[in-house]
Amino acid sequence: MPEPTIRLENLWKAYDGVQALQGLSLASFEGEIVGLIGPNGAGKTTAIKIIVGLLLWDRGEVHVLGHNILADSISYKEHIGYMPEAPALPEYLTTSEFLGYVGRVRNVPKEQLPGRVSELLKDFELTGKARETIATLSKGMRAKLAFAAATIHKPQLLILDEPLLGIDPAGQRLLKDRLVEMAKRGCSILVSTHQLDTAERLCTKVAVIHRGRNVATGDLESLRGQAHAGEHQSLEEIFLKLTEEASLPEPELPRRRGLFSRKG
Amino acid sequence: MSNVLTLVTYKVKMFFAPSYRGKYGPLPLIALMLLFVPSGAGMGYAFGSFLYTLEAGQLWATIGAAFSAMLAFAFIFSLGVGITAQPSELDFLMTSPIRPREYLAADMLFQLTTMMVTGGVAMIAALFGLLAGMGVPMVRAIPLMLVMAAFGLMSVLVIQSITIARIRYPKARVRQLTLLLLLLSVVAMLPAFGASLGVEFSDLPIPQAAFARLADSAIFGTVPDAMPIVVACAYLAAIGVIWVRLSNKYFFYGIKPTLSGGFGQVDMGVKMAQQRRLIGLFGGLTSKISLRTEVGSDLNLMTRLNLVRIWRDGSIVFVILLTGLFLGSGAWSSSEGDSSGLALNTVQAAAWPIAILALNWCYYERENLWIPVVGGRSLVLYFRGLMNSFIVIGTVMSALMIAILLLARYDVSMTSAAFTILAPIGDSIIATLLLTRVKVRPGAFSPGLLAVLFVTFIVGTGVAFAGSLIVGAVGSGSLIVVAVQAAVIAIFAGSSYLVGVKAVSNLSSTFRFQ
Repeated sequence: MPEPTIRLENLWKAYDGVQALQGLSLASFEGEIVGLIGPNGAGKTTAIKIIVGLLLWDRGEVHVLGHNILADSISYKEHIGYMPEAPALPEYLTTSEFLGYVGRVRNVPKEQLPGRVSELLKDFELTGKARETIATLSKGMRAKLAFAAATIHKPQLLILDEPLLGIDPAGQRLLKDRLVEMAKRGCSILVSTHQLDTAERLCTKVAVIHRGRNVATGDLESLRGQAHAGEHQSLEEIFLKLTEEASLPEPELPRRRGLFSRKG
Repeated sequence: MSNVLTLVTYKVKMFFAPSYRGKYGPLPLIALMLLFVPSGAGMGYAFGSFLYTLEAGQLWATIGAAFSAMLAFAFIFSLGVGITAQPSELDFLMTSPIRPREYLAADMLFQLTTMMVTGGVAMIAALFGLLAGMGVPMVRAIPLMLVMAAFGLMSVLVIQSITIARIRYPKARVRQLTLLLLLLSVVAMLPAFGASLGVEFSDLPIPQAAFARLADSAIFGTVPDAMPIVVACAYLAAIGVIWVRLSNKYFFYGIKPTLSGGFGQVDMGVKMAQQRRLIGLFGGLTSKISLRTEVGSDLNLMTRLNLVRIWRDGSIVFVILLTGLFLGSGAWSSSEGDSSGLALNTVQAAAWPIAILALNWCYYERENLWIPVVGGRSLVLYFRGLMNSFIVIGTVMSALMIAILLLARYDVSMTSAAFTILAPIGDSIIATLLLTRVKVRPGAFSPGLLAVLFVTFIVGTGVAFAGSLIVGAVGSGSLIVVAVQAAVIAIFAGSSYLVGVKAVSNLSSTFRFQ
């Protein structure tokens, strides 16, 4: 059994008393594109922020690329790439300066940096914007730049939070092609998305998260089985069925009669 | 008009709720209201004592100048904001079947309410101070307030009418006309400052002169002449008629969301948008200085990164303006024979820019720290680079300031020079230390914001003061003493820097991004 790239075990996290994660468990492996889907407030972004080291959790275990990230919270980051949802970018830097800066932070050797920056700018059709500040870029270009920055050091594990938001169809196609290429080369990819048709076509495995728990995980066939769905039902239908079932109130257990309860 | 109350309630709640629902409830708001009461009363008393010494003509000119200033402000306001609106009002209220006049009436009430709530107590204190300074009974405050309220109402009507005219008639020369009126208002203020233009503005049939005479009658309890009453009423009626005609016209498509948050609130989204606009505006100019990421050590890169940010996001313009303002103001007061003015303003010019830069960092840069955090980098080098960039900016500005003062033949003593050089170093260290711990919350009256601003200024100034005391203790006179003083400054600066590096490294190693 290969070592999982991400292993979350019984993860709990609360914000001011509100439970965002309630025992989430998840595993991903080399070469997989794992889709993280769930309704708003399901805990997807919380889980991702924990994995990339931006949030501390309350209970449970997190292992990334074989590292227990509570014990070793730095060294694993050298091998991960991250693109947040609506990333804050240093508006004052030009696109090439930004990629150079991220490259330095990500320990790309100085002598390789200019070449790698040019390559990424070309790959993501940003060469014409190399000397323009990020402040002047459109939403789609900013997303492509953030994606390029997440991959500048050729990570083993790529974590993306809603990467296709605000990108035009051609740009989406470009990013999806890059993801498939990276996965073929062995990169493990975790992608949170609301675009279920994209998840259906792109991901090798999907984890459905609801109310901070993992309600089902697997490929489309396996999810169909878990949802008792027909073989022609789409991921959207399966998703709705699974989350609906998970939303049902749990059957009330018969109350134990108290020692001093009143009769009648 | 049934919607006016609903609209004004919404606007008032939107504006004051953030400050009311903060950690300390309404206390900060009340504190702010009371904070300016003593200074308001003091200023009113001083102004009243000054008015008491004037003869009738001068008195009318001076009060008229105050009304002219209010009118000039109204013209400036109407060229910019004009009608206030929160972004949510554009999305939800202005897309509802609300009549423009209802919205205008609500906005007028909102503006008057906010003015009274935030500055009303201080204004009343200033009014009582003024009457006390003039030695007249306090009961005269009532007619005086009525005169001021009438002028305030006229000003708001002017603001709204110009704003609607600007939106509805873009081809008419509304802006040019407003600018001309603004210029005339400014010119009408000049006689109060001793400028002789050969025209007695207080005798002209202009609103500020008429209201000045009415205010004079209110203060001294005399019956006003018919002329100022007629002129004031005529202007009020005229602007009222114009407002009634214009307020029926649809103008919602020309309104911009000018209120980005509640009272005392910082809206990070708006701050980012401002930064984006500034960078876009100066982009061609500022990107000529580039950041070479493939050279230099990591510390060097972080220092240059922060310098590039300060250069490109417009912070540097602010630093230069602030330094110039304090320097100019200090030089002006020195030329008036007050040598302490220069010293005081030099202190401020050396210290405030770093405090402002630190605050800008909270708004514009803190959120970008996810990049080094996720990249597995310790933030020690980042914060040391930030401190270095502050020190570079501060010392360059100080050196320029000393050079300008010497060129202008001011006598810059070694203790003053020590202060001017050491203040930005102290400020930079303190500001960076604070930034490793303080997060400016986007809520109203963020204690973090006040801490960054004032603690940086106070502690940094204290450090510089200590250094200048040591330099002063060396003595004065010969060239050797000056050399020793220069050495003391260098040693003090160097040791402060080393202490700063140690402290910043310790604190930033445990920095928490979220």
